[in-house]
Amino acid sequence: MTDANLTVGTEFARWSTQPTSRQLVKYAGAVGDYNEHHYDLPFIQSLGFRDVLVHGSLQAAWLAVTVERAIARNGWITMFDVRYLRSAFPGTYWCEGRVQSTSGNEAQVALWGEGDDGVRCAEASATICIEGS
Amino acid sequence: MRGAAPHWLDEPRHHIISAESVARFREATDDVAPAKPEVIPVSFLLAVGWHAPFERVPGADEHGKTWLNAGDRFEYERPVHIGDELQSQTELADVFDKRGATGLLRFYQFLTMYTDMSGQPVARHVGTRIRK
Repeated sequence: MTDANLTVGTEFARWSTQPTSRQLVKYAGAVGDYNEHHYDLPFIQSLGFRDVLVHGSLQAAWLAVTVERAIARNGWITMFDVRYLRSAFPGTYWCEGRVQSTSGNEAQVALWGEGDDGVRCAEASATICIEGS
Repeated sequence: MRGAAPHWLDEPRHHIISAESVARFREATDDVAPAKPEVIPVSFLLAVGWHAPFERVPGADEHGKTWLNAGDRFEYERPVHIGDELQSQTELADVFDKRGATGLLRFYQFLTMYTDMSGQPVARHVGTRIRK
């Protein structure tokens, strides 16, 4: 996508990722988040969860990738605001988004991530500054 | 219910954005072939100045035994590049309670400000965490 087609309603390419416990450990190391929720199965099961949790902020990173792939070198994200709605587990995680509004050299986008069951785990909004427009 | 956040300010920190740390982050987040490899991913700030401040907040043990992540907000004054030198400092900005399906939950909001070495604002992050 380029700034020329960053219009209201433009949908970003839906994509999925398959997080594994190995990836969660890699992410934990990359950000220094060693919360047991993300790798210690007996611990997280003692709290009533069925499996280790995908980091909320890893979901944020995937949603940000969704935008960054779409805008390529035509802009940059000035604001990114994400809310984590429910727990996400290893398996398949889907990312989607669309342009909500545009004004001048800015675009507002909405993003969401969901598990295989189609229930949203995270929702985000972002502001993109379009360069060269 | 919102209340006055107890004053809590973490130590200031100094960072140099390394290509290695960004590459490690990208690999862990499926961020392959980025269009702007020289610019940090928007949530990479968590790998920079976010040192689990929630684990050091006095008094939090009274409200639960674990932490859950409720949200993150990132705002940038400009793109941050590999090689940039930044300073950061985190403070407890707000504490409030909300009733959820499992009862009353205590929310903590942490504000981390990022500046360049001359003190000019570069970015800010607000992390909302739940004590449960």
